[in-house]
Amino acid sequence: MDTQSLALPDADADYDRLIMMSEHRKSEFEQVADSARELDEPARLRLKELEDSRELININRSYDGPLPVIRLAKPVRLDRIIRVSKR
Amino acid sequence: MPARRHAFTDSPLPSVIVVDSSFIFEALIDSGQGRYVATHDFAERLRAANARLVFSGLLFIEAPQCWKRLYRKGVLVPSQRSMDPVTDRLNAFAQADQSLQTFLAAFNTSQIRVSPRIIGTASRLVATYELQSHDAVVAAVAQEIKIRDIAATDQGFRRIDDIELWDGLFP
Repeated sequence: MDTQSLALPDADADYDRLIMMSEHRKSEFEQVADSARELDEPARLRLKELEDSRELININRSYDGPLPVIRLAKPVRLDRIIRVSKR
Repeated sequence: MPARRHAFTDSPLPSVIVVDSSFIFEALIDSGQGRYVATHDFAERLRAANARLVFSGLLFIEAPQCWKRLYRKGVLVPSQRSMDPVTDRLNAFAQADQSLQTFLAAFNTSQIRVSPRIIGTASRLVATYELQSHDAVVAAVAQEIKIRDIAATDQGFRRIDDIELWDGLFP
């Protein structure tokens, strides 16, 4: 028996284990990413109050595609441009 | 106690977060500067968590100012060029505005009116923390709605007491 035929099943098993670990990690990450802290009562009441007085307008999500991106023609220090844009 | 800073990978995420234009623009514009991926990924996490983004109408004044500076630098270009520079500029701005609208439409959002009370709070915050006025309005919005979580990459926010600052720990 050559060494390659011995090595391949182990490599496959390692690969399968890696995939399983990766899937597990992925599901762990997704669980974390999908969970958000509950809103506390004072904030919830205040938001409702502002909504009722029309000082705050809620808009529900209406787009499910990929987030858009504005690609610039060449690299710039965006942080500096943003600072100046606030003046 | 100054702002408690968060990495964009921290958990748990807030269910409601006040967003500054610095965060929105960094997540929307790939400037080739290195912040885009981290802010974009955090935006995706917020979207997956169904978090609500709160902002004031000032965002829509800051946006064209930002487009103007990017256009002047020659890095924001319209998808189609014409013979008329004004038409080109209008097209570039309209496309950028459309991208911003689409970005915001990907989230549950709340737009808050900048009331005299918010202006009063912002004025006090400018004096207390030597903030830029627009940053102070964002912090005042957070106080007004009793939310401590703010997403912003501008450094001025780090001086504000008792907020949870989601700034990706950028230097």
